[in-house]
Amino acid sequence: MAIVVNLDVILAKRKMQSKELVEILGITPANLSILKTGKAKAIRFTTLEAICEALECQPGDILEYKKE
Amino acid sequence: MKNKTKNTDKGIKAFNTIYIFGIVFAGIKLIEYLQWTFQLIRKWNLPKEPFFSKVNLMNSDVEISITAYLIFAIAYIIVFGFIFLGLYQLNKTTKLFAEKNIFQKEVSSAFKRAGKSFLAFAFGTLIIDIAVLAWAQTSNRVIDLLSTELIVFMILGYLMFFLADIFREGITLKEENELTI
Repeated sequence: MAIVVNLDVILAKRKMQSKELVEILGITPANLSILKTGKAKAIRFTTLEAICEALECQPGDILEYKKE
Repeated sequence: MKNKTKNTDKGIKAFNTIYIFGIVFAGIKLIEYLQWTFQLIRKWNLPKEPFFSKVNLMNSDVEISITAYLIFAIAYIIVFGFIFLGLYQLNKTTKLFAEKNIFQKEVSSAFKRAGKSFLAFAFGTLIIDIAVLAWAQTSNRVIDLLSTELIVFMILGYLMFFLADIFREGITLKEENELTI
């Protein structure tokens, strides 16, 4: 997938655990894992909004385009 | 949701009934073919009942040997087995539907295999009939071999391929939905 999700990087910068983020977002750990490992096919704007609000960042901080 | 489940169960039960009728009907035909073949082998002479090819052998100038009849009969019986294979694959799909996980790869594969089986039966019988026609050198035309049975099984076969494609598309959409966070 050309879109890379840098969630681990932002979580480390914010010193937040995945478990904490899961509770804030209200998604399952499995879904968060799908997002972190790059297996996700799409992300809803509502989810992206919730992540940016929780991690106090911009969508560009989490999503990166890498040409394949 | 409960109504949808009830309707799906009714549909599965209806299909199972049609499947049983199909198996019984095909079974009766197969038993007729087997009985004809066993009589041929036992008496080494043509049975009273006519041979099951669509070719009209009455107009034949050439006498077909008993061995040739036996070969054609065995070929017919083998090709007829494809109907059972196709029906078995369709029955497999209803069992998979009953598990309530409709969009799975096994369903698409089962429909594809059913389609191949029905087409194998349709074209197999046509090829055998053409071979009988060529052997018997009768005044029949090839176009007379295009029976309703042949057309129905060809349509059924291609319909199964179409359903396999639809389910494959459904699986892709389901996966995309599941992997949308």
